[in-house]
Amino acid sequence: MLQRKIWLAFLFILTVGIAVSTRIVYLGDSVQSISHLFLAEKLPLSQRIGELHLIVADEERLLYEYYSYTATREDFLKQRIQNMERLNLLIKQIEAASESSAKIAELRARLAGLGQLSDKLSSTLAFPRVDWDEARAILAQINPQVRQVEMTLATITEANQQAVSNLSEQSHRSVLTMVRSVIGFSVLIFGVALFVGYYVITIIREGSERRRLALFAERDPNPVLRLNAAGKVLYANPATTKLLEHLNLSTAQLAKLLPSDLQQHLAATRDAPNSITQFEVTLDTHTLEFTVAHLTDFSEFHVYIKDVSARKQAETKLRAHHDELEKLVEIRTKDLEIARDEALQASQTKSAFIANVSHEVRTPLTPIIGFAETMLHDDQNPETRKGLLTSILHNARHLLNIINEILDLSKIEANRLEVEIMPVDTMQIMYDINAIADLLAREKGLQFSIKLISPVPLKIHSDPTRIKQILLNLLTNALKFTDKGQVDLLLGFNPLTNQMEFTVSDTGIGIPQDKLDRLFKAFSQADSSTTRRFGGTGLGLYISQRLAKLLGGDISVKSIDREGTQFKISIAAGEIDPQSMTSEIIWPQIGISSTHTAKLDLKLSGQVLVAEDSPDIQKLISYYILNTGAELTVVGNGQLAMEAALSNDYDLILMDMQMPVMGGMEAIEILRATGCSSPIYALTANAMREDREAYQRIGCNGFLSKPIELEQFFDVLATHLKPADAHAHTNPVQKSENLLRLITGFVASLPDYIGRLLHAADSAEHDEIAALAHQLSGMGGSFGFPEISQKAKILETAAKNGEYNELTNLVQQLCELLTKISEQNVAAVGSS
Amino acid sequence: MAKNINILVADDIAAMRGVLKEILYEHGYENVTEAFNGEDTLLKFHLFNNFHMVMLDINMPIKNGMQVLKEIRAENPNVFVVMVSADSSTEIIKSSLALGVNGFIVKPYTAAKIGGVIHKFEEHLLKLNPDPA
Repeated sequence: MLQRKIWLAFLFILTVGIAVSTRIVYLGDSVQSISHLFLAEKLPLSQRIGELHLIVADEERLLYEYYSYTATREDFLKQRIQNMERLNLLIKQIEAASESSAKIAELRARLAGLGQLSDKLSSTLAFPRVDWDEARAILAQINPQVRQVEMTLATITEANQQAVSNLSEQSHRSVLTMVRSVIGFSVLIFGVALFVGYYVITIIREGSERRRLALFAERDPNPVLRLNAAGKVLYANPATTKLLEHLNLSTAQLAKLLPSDLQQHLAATRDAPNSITQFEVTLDTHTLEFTVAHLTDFSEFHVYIKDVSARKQAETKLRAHHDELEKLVEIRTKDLEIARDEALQASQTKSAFIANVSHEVRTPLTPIIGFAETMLHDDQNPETRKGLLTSILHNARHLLNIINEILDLSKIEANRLEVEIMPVDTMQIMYDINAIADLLAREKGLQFSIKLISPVPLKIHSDPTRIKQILLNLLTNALKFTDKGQVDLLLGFNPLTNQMEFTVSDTGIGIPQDKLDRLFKAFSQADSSTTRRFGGTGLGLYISQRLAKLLGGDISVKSIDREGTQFKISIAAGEIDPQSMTSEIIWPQIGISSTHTAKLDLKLSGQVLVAEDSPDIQKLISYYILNTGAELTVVGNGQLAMEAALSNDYDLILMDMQMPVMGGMEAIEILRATGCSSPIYALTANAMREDREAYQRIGCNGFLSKPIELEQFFDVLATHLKPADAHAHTNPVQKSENLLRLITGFVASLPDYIGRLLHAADSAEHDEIAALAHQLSGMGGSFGFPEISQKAKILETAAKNGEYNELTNLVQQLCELLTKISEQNVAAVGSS
Repeated sequence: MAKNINILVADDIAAMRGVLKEILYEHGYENVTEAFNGEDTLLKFHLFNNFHMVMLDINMPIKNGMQVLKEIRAENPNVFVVMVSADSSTEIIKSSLALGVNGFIVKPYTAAKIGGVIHKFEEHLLKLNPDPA
């Protein structure tokens, strides 16, 4: 593109240049004309002609002067000669300068004529006698001659001026022409130079390009070869040499690398125009990619070699990686499948569990509700009734057990299963367990015994509740699954591990080997048929094992199908006294028995405040407390409890923790904040440690659990209430001497109060009545007259509430009371 | 020990002050000053400026117990204040506790009730003064 433009531009310039330079032809003429113009004579020509005029005029003058004797002859002649000389010169000059030679010849002739006349004139004048008439006649001839000369001069001048103007015009044109020519010429030169330059540059560039192309293959970092049709290497670039050196091959060997079938292929494609073949050759350490281009028009092969070892390695790695990933995916999928199956099974198991639990919970409820209903409607004899009640109690306990198990399970799942380590009397535990297990065994006609197989410490540090839970769970299982024979509980202590070791062994149906490992898993029993036969939630063993682990031990099992089973439980004993061990079972003193009847006979006296919102529990607690003979106040929420506790003195306060309006916590906090120091016990279904700690923190003296454990309950009552025989009469205010004086003063003021009350009632000043009643209610009890406070409070409330019709009556009543007291006490005090 | 303890008792009824004084005396506290109304209480409190415990009746003329409590607490967060009231409603108790009262006695009170508050007061004294005087 650029090339063409340059060509066009050049052509244009050339044309213009040529057009302009043709004017150069005129250049010569112009130069001449200009030179003419600048000759010295051109411009002064008019001046010369002017001078000629003057000379002629002067000649005339001279003649007249001579004629008129103004000038001497000598002067005249002298001047005339001068004039003639000048005249000749002038004519010569004019002739030289002027172009109109014809006219100048004419001028010369006329001037000659004029000269002749003049000579004639002078000669006439020269003689002593002047021929004036001749002179005059000559003069008369001279004038027209002079006029003619002037005319000729004018014509010459005119022609001259014309010539000058022509010349100047011409020279003007010539200057333009010259300028144009110069421009044209230089443009031409420039165009030519451009063209030449461009051409030169192109040639140079082509030259360098060709040089570079020539070195193309030389410089290529990849090996490039030229082979002829036979396969002989015609050319190999330095990169090839380097490669061969690197690989320790010779060119011939390289050629041999080409696979044989390739050579055939090349032979076959010989006529296929410019085909390209690619193949890879793998050596020990490197992989080379050969690209062979078959240039048919040259009967040559161009071979380009690339070292693709790196790429090959990357490919191999990638493939390996890919394979690995595939494997991983497979493994993951398998894992996921397993997890999914497990989850499905867990979900199934949970559903089965829920169904199971539902059944387990409803089963004991049936006789509970059923028998209770029966007892409501029918009349039974005491024996039957006792049987029904026993069954209800039994089933309720069983239900409680199941619920506890489920709660334990949820605690485990929330990681909240806790144990409380405290000193434990091992023999007491054995006693408690024996009481239950022995009974169950006898019901089934089985033998049960507790034996020591090694000395055990009398006291250990562990959680007695949980130990009992574990052992009872295993024992009840053993008793459940044994139809005949023996169930034993064996105790031991391992000093090396500092663990108590219990063994529960039975002669029951045993557990098949393949079921043993699933035994301690949640929700499983040996098999579902066992569940159907024997009931149970399938949680007992799971929970027991978790507990055993929490207690620093474990549970293991050995079983022979149809012959019997042995469970071994180990728990950490904690701190023990090695000096107080026993080799035999020592039952605790019979005196410490916890039968209900003994407790129910307890007789106490005092004031108890119970805050509980459940009417049934209210009834229950009231029954127990009133049975001891103590006085009881029952309120239904925390606010009432707080108000009651502030207004009255209680020996014991039992506060339910979950109540409407104001909860137990808030009430206790306010009570303690206001300085109430009565013993307060929290009634709570919550056995969680942090809750118990919270109760302690806000100022509770202790807590009682729900459902009510009678032993604990009566212990608390006995601690804070006095035995019924003791004098429990406390005066509201101790009567010291000063106090008696004050009481006297109070009594003395009673008539005044009576008067004011009656007056206020008459004038219906309800505010005054309220104020007086308020004062009396505050003082009455403090001075030992609680009845005054009571009545006054009622009056105050009525007055404030505007029950005006009641007021008169109430005022009446209060005044009557005040009068009575006043009379009584005045009489008593007498003279002081 | 109890001899160095100063107590201020405020109630507009002389008999009530008397009873309190008597009970305090029985617990060993002899330095008991009496005040007749809210203003008087504040005056005496500021004048002597050495009371360990103040017992305020709520129903007093010229500034009631709650107002006095507020003003006392504004300057002195440490003095042990007991409110005495015939009213045991939750609002009064809660608002007094919110104002920083240390004990609350509901009239009519018993010696045992006062005893409980005094016990709390003595614990409070021990906290302020760890070594027994």
